[in-house]
Amino acid sequence: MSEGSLLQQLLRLMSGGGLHTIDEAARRLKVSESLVAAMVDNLERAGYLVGMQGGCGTACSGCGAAAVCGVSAPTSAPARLLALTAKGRLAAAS
Amino acid sequence: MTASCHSPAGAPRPSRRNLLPGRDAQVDHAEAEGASALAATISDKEAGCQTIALIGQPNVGKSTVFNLLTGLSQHVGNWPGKTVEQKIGTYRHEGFVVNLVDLPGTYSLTANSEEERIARDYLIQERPDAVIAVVNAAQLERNLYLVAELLSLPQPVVLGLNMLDVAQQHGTHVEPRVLEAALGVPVVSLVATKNQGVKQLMDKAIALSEGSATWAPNRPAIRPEHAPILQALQALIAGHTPPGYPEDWIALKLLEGDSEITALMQATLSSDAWQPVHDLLAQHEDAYLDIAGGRYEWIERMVRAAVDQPRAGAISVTDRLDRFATHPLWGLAALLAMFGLVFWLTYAVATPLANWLSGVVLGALDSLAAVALGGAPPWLFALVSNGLIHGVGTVFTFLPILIVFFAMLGLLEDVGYLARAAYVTDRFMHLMGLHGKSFMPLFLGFGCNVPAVLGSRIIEERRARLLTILMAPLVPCTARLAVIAFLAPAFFGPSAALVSWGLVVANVLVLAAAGIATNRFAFHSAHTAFIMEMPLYHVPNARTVGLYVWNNTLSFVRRAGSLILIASVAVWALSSFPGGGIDRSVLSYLGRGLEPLGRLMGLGDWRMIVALLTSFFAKENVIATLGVLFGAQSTTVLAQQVSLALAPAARLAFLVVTMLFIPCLATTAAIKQETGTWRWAAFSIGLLLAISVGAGILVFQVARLIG
Repeated sequence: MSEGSLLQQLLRLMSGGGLHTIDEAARRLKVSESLVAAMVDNLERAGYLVGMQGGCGTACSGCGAAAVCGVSAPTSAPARLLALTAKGRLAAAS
Repeated sequence: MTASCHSPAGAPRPSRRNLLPGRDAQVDHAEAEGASALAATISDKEAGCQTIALIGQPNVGKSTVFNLLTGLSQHVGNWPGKTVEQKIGTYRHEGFVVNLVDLPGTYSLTANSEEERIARDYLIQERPDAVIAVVNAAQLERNLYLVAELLSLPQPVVLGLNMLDVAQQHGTHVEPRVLEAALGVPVVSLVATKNQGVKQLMDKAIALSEGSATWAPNRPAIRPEHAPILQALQALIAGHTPPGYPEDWIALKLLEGDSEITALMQATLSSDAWQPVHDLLAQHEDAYLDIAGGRYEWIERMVRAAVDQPRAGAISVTDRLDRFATHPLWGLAALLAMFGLVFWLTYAVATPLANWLSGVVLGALDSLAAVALGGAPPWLFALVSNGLIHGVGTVFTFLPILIVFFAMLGLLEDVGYLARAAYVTDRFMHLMGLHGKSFMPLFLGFGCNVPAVLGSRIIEERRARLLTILMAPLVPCTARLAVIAFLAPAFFGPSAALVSWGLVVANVLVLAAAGIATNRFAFHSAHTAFIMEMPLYHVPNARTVGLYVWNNTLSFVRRAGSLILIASVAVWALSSFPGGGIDRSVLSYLGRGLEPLGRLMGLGDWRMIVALLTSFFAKENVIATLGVLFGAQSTTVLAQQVSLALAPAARLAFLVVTMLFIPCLATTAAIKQETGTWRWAAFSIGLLLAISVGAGILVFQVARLIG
């Protein structure tokens, strides 16, 4: 049984749960980090992964505590975080 | 040599080329349009006018190239019936006229976005004579996917390898000749921003379109298991595909699960003819991952061949640091060390500054008040002096502490360390059996608990979300840390940094314990999985950090100027009423009523109890209230007085209780908002009251035993 394409392998790597980094995935799949990053983008566009917004995001606009909130927008580009979707979990299992 | 194409009076040819059938066109209409487009293409070829399309991802410099080639001959409009911008123009050189079409920036040729559908419709139906694919040399892995897709269409492609200068800066060295050999596609190096290579690119594209250049693409291979399926699909759809659509491409897209092509074929074929196709596709629903994955394997081979040492400079520094920073053991140690460093720096630099400030500023304000309100009624003077200057004013002297704290935090964030901190903490949580989406929002709580509560929105499961919300107040926020920062030096002198550090660690452990307990109880959330792209470490930007400190300091000042101000005045009022000294005030009766409970924690002094209670409105109120009730001249004196009022064991207990005490007003309001009812907010208050009092009693009794 073939081990599946790179995309399949990436999803399967994630399906065990927990937090992975792109570096770690690159090491496990034996490819470059930029390739993993490109694949992650593709999986996000295809709906197997979903991007998570760090921080309040747009919640601030509706938040009543805005006047007394001690948090302002994040400084530099925050770390990108993506979660496996139900579609992704299903595909990883097959 | 083909006869060059001359257009009348040098004006661009009228835009018959822009007529694409609308997306919801009937089959007949599509056929008619396709036929006329085909006829037009043939006639153009005869006339010698070439059409070349430009394609590429967003932000690769495609527009720059287009502008350089077409100059003022550009027409900007919209693709018919769409809101997407369309640019067409002509390129003229030595009597040649070439029509250029700038296709929308796209990452691939799926049906997922309007831009992609426009691009592929144009390629299929208008059949340009050649395609120029502009590619970012610094991001080849991302950019080559589109090229992989393009190669499954019949048009010849030339690759414009742009942004080589940027790639060079990143330490990425691309060999265009090797890439050309590997791809089997002509590759022309460009630096579009400096107008280098653009003419050569065009020359190559023209040569391709005329058929005078070699075109032997090395296409991404179909996986062996898919070849028979594709053949079967092609056999089933043979002769029934809309005109202009290559049959093999349709078969591939069907197998990929392309929504638009599937719908198109279902409409085109009779239901009898569609059934076997549908059945075959249903057996292979995950083929998308295989086909797209195959393209990445192809990309990997191409890049491996043509790109030299893709790692250098900033990347390897990041790698080396990360081997340490993300290590399960060393990373955690590093994180704890960071905490320690932040506290130490705060105390070393900010506290002396804050004390000096309070001595000078509060003293000056006192003198000012004495002068300005000399003739005013005594109660007004007391209000201003005790209520304002020594209440809310004391909190303002905090500013150095907060500024240093925010600066440290901002610096760590800008350098890129906080992402690693989150990763290590999550690893730690994972070890304890806690992981998943439910804990992500809690990281936000370190600045302020409110975002942690609001951030819980990302958790779909209701019970899991609720539990995360209830745990949010356990995360130590900057306001709480500021109070600790104020009291710890007074209570513990030189060991202040150690004690504060210990308190934070203990707090996080309590949080983890709470997490484990609730995990046991409640939810087995599906094991959510995440992947994270950590930014490269980079030199912090003074402006970014400065802005961060400024914004956070401003919010603090706003909060001080409102909630804390009001609370100070209220505390002052309640402690002065009905007169006869502070010990006979309304507030003291309230405080004394709670003394029995307080004594269990060593907090027999009603003023401490009241201070704790006022922390409900804002955590900083602890300081303001103490300032009002103790009536000290400066923060150093205040700190001393508070120290004297408490036994050593009690001082520790007080700090513990302050850390774990009930959520502040803002957090409580957020909890109410997110859970939709006051019930859970009240429960949260009760829960934390129990935890904090319990911990306070425990710590006091144990500390007293130890001595």
